Amino acid sequence: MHEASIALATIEAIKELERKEKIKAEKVFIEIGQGSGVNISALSFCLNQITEAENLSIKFHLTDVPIEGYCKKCDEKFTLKSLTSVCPKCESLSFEIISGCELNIKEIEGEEIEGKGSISDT
Amino acid sequence: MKVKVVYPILKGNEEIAKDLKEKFDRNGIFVFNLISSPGAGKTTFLEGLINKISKFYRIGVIVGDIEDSVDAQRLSKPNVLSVQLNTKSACHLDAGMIREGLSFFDLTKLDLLIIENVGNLVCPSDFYLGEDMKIVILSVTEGDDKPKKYPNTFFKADVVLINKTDLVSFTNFSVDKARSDIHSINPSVKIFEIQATKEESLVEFIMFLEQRIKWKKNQKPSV
Repeated sequence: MHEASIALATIEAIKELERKEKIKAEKVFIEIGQGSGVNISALSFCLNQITEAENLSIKFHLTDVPIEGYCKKCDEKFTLKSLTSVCPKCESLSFEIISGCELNIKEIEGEEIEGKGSISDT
Repeated sequence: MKVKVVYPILKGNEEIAKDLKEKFDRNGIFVFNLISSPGAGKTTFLEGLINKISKFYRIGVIVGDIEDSVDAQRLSKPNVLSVQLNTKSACHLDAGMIREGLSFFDLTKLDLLIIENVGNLVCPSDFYLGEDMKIVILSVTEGDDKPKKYPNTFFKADVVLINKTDLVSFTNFSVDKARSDIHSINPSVKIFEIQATKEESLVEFIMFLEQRIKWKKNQKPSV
């Protein structure tokens, strides 16, 4: 259940972005790769628990990103069920994961402000 | 106002881990992060490893457990400093915890730092700790289906130790199946078969590890 730690790290990351972008976050868009090892509904639960406890008015939009790999030999892209370094078609090792490990904030929407964001340090 | 970004949620952890890696590199310390399910034999393996090599190398151990300090006590030997971190609710170690743990060590007097992660085959693989190598232990009594069930951890491993191979005949574990499943997820991973309770079974792994410790020492920048 490391989603609780990931949720806390998300709040820290939003805090950092609010400071940097001088914005009070209202909506936060997050992408979670299916191969990131993070369960999207557990993360959503943890984020909601934190926002409730901290009295924050942030809405989270979580989207999952499928795992995709590219084989140089086949020159083809494949959607995968789990992470692997072997091409599912030709079984060569000239295969790399091109997406599905993401754990990123993609967009923050909110009011522009001067100074601190909604998540106060104090 | 909308701000488009690509901001990694674990950026904070990654930055601390990068600092740790620089510290380890500067001091020529080889670091491995040991990951497995509870009961796979991490501490028993480390006891055997330490018994075999602590005469030749200065070793530090950081042990992560939710509670208790029995593992750090088991690993406290001459020439070895062992520090226990209690993560309380956290099911993994993160880079910030390692940074705290490092305050107990004099990094100029270490050749090898071992991080024994919290027993868990899922969460620890998401948190980079600045290590040179991730070692995963898979034990025979867990079943040979675990690599396929927990692919992320095996995908990120540099080394897999198949432990308790002396128990194969009492189970339906197939070493061949485990090897082939691990290689189908991660073909470049190095696999060793061990019996952690029998130190002589560690010899092949120890030769492999010693090469890396020496390599790291040689990479140490001269002041």
